[in-house]
Amino acid sequence: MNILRQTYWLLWKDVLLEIRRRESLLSMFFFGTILLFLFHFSFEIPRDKTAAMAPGLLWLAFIFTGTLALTQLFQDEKESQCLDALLLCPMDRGALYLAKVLFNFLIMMLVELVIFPLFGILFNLDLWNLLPSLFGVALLGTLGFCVLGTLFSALTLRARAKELLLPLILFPLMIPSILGAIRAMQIIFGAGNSEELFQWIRMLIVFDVIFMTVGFLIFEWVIEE
Amino acid sequence: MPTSAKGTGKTRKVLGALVFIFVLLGLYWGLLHAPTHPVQLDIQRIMYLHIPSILTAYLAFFIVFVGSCLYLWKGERRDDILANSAAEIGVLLTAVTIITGILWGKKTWFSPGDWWTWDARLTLTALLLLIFVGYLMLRALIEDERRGAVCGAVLGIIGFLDIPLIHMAVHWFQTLHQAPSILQTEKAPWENIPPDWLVPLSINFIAFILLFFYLLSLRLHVGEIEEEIKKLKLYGRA
Amino acid sequence: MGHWGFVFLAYGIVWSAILLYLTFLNRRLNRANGERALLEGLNRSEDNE
Repeated sequence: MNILRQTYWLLWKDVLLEIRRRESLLSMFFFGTILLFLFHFSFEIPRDKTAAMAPGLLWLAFIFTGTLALTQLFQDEKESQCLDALLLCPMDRGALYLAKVLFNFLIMMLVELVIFPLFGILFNLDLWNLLPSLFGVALLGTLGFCVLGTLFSALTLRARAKELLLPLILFPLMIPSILGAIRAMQIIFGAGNSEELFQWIRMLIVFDVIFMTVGFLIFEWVIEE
Repeated sequence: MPTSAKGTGKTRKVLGALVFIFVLLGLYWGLLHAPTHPVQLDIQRIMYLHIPSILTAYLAFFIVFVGSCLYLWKGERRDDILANSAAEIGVLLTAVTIITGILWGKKTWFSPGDWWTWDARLTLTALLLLIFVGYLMLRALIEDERRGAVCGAVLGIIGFLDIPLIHMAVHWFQTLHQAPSILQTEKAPWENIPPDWLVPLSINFIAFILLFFYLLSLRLHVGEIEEEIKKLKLYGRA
Repeated sequence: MGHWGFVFLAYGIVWSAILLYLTFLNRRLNRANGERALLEGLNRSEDNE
């Protein structure tokens, strides 16, 4: 239970900072919007193809904005030497991992909460009835992204060109989760059967559980000085 | 050949000679002695490179995983050098496998004129290459040695654990939505192979495994010497 | 290109890639050996002083 309390306070610290400055959330939101405009200019999606292309485009927007957040995730702590102070605290390193995963998850979900309807409006896609189930899939996919992303964000913290390196090592490993989320959302939009949907949902859950566990256990090595 | 290699140097020389013999034998058997395939004709001779190289690459990535786990557990430099070396050779073998696969496929089951197809196996192998190229880049971009070793080990473990998931995802994605290609039948490709082809395949497989261990021991030796140099620079003159 | 052309291309690419890596390793080994000998020599001369 101690670890949950530690996680809660660490998460609260990040949330408080974000509430006061709002920089990650705002920049991610605007970046996502710009991406939607770019998608329009690059594809000029015909009306009857919108539903089929929506999941892929949405996920491109999510992972690009998410990567933006990940590169900033440990930046404050690193610049203000707060990381050293945090590591001196008598707390579980796993709590720090969980707090960062949850924080990144939280801001990504907030951005997605805006991007989903915005996509529906801009591309005249009638997704309002499907929104709860789409959001459910997005929840699982985003968690997978944050679980691995947080780990690699900490991993590349001291590397040169880390902003470039992070997506380079993260994206290939994210394939099962991204593929699962895109396929599941396509099925929700009406392409495929429900049996296949559960197959992909299972894939998403297995991905989240495996890498959450591995991340939690291995973070101790990743973050140590 | 290195002149200063002591002790293990001799074993490596013997191993090198064995590699040389088996490679020549494999080349002879694969290119000249093995009969021409009745359907695919001579292009099938690429198989004698393609299958041994990918299996050896899998072995290399397994060794990356083992070395990474050992390094996180015990923290010995030796295990990290092992993982890093195996990753380097694994990347080489995977790249080579993709090239031979494309050349083979172009003459057999690709659509005419194509240089690539999103077949599950091909895609998976390309992703494997991307993951471990990422590993090598991570190693190159972290200057601090201990830090680089730890990060490499973590990536080595995660990458290896992710392979089955990627395999499943890519397979489901392809088999559910595209017409199956020749290689996607339930049977493994080598189950259709008569002894005439199995013998050259085994010889080449042995050649590649021996070659892998030869390259690995050479690369480990280089790693050890570079390690000594670092120590000499740090403490030697003190 | 016929079948044999592709076969020779494949074998050529594979074995030249492997040989290239081998020469690269050997060069790296020789350089490391040289540097180690130099450093050891330096240490010895410093010890003698």
